[in-house]
Amino acid sequence: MVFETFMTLLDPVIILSIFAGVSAGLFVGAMPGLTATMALAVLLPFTFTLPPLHGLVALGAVYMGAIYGGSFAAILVNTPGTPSSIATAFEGYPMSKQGRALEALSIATVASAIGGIAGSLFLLLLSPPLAKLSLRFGPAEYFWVAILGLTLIASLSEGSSTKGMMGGALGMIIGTMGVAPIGGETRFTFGMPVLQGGVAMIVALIGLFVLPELYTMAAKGKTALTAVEVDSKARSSFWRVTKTVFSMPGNLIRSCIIGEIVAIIPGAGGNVANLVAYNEAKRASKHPEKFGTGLPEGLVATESSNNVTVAGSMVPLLTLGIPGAPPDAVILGVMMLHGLRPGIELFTTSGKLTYGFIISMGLAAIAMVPVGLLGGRLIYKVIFRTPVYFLVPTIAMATMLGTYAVRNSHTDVIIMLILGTMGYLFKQIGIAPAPIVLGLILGTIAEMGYVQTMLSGQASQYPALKLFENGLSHILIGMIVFSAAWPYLAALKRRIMSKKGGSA
Amino acid sequence: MNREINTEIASGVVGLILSAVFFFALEDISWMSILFPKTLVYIMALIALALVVRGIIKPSRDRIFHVGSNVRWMVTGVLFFAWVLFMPVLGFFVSTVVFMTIIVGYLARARSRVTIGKFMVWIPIVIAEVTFFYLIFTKVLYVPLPEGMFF
Repeated sequence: MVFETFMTLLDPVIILSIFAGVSAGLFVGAMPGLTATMALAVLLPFTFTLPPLHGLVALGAVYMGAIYGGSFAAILVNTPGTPSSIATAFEGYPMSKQGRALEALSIATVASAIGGIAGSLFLLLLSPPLAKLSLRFGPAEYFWVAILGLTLIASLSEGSSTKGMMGGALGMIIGTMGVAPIGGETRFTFGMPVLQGGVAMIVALIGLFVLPELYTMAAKGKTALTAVEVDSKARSSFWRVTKTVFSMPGNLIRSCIIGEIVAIIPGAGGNVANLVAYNEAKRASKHPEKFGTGLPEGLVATESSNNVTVAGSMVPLLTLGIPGAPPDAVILGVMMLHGLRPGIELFTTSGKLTYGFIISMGLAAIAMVPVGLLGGRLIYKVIFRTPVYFLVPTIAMATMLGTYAVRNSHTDVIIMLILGTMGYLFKQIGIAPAPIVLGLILGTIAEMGYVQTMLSGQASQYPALKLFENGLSHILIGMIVFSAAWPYLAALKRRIMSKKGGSA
Repeated sequence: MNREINTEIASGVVGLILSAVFFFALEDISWMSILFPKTLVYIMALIALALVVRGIIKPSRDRIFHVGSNVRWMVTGVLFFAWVLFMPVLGFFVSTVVFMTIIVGYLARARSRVTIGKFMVWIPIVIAEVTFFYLIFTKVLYVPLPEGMFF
C-alpha cells in the first residue's frame, strides 16, 4: 500500500501543494512571533475546499516549512521565528555575525530536511503497531489517556504546572458547551441559542493561538525587523555543507531520537526538543566551551530535532487522537472536518489517505532544500521589508476569514475574538493558551470515555469502579501519577543538589 | 498597568469566578449530559482554590502587561471588535478596507509620523490586499462572505 500511495503523491497538483505549503510555512515561520500553530491556523481556510488528501498534504507541508522557517529569524535576527528555534539562535546568530550567515542557513536547511525525513520514517514505523494497540482501548482507557495528556500538558506548561492544569480544566469546560455527545442535551448555553452548537475547536484554537500574538505585536509597535547583513559573496557549497552535517552522525542520530521521544509526549513539541537536543549535543561534545560561538554542531542538533517533531508528534495524534504538539490540534481539526477519526481505521479503511499524508511529510522535508536554498533569500528579504503595522491587520484579516469559513458564521468570528482576548489576558497571569486548547480537545475524548464507562457500569453498585478495572487502565493510571508528580520530584532533586553544592 | 501582582492569587480568583459562573449555569438535565461538566467545574474550583492557598502561603510577584504599550493593544482590540461588528452592516470588503487602513495608520504612528502622503500609499495596498483575499474566498473557495449595504 505504501508504494501505491507514494505513486499517488507524484500527482503534479500534490507536488505543487507541497512546494506551496513549504514556501507559505517558511514565510510565516520566519517572522518572529508567528508560530507554526499560527501558520497552520491562518492558512487553514485555503484547504477547506480541497480533497482531504490534498488539504492534509498542504497543511503537513506548511507545518514542516514553518518549523524550518523559524531558523531564518533565529540565524539572521537573533530572534527565534518559532519557539522551536530558540537554541538555533545560540549558534546561528554568532555564525551570521562572523559573516557565515549563508553557511548557517544551509546547515539549518540540510539538518532540517534530515530531521523531517527521520520524523516521517518514525511515524511510518511506529503508528501502525500503536494503532493496533489502540484496539485494546475501551472507553475507560480513552478516559485515562486523555487525563494522561492533561497531566503532561500541566507538567510541560511554561511556569506553574497548577496554572497549566487550571488552563486544561477551563479548556475542557469550554469543550462541553453545547450539545452533549452522550445524552444529547445542551450545557452552558447561558440562554444564548448561538451557543447550542458549542464552540468549534478550530474557532477556539485560532483565537487562542493567534490573537494573543497579534496583541503582543501591536503592543510592541515595532516598525520592521532588522537583520544582519548577508554577504552574498560568502557562499557556501551545498555539498560541502551536506558533508559537514553528515560528518557528525552521532549528533544527528541522537538529536533525531530526542526529537521523536519528545514528540510522542502529548503537549511537548519542537520547543522542548530543540533545547534538549542542544543541551545533549553540548554535553557530548569534546569542546563544550565553544558552544555559543557559532558551532555547526549545535545548529545541526537543534534543527534536526525540531523537524523530527513535525511528523513525530503525529504518532499519538493518528493513533489515539491526542495531539503531540499544539500545531497537531489544527491537523486534528482538519481530519475531523473531513470525517476522519484517529485510530486503527485511519490505517485500514482510510489507509491510502493516512499513508499519503505520512509520506508527503517526508517529501515536504525534501522540498525544503530547494525552497530554502533558492527561495529562502527572497522570502527573508520580503519579511524584513514588511512593516509590522501591515502584518497585524493582514494576519487579523486572514484569521477572521479562516474562522468565518469554518461554518460561514459571523458569531464564530465574535467568539474567536472573545476567546483570543481572554487568552491574552490569561497569558498575563500565567495561564498559557496551549493547555486551554489541549484541554478543549482532550475534554471531548475524556467525556466520551467517562460517560460510556459509567453507563456500562450501571449494573454494578459502584459504576465508577469500572474506570479501574483492567490492566491497561492500571498502567495508564501509574503513568498519570508519575507524570503529575514529576515536576515536584524534579524540584525536590534540584533542591537536594543545590543543598549538597552549598555544603561542599 | 505596568505593575507586579501575585499571579497565583490572581489566577486562582479568576478560576473561582469562572467556576462560579459555570456552576450556576449547570441545569437540571439528565445525569449523562451533566455528570462530566459538573465534575469539571468542581475540579476547576479545587485547582483555583489550590492556587489561592499557594499564593497566600508562598507569595511571589510577577510582572504583568509589561510588553510595550498597553493602550496600543487595547485600542487594536477595540478596533478588531468594531471591525467584526460592522461587518454585517458595511459588508466584508468595505469594513475590512476601512478598519485595516485605520489599524495600519494607528500602529504606524507608534514609531513614525503619519502623513496624508503615507495614507495615499497605504490605501491602494490595503485595497489590493483585501481584493486578493476577497476574490480567493468568494471565487475560488466559494465562501460567501458577509454582505452589507454596499455589496
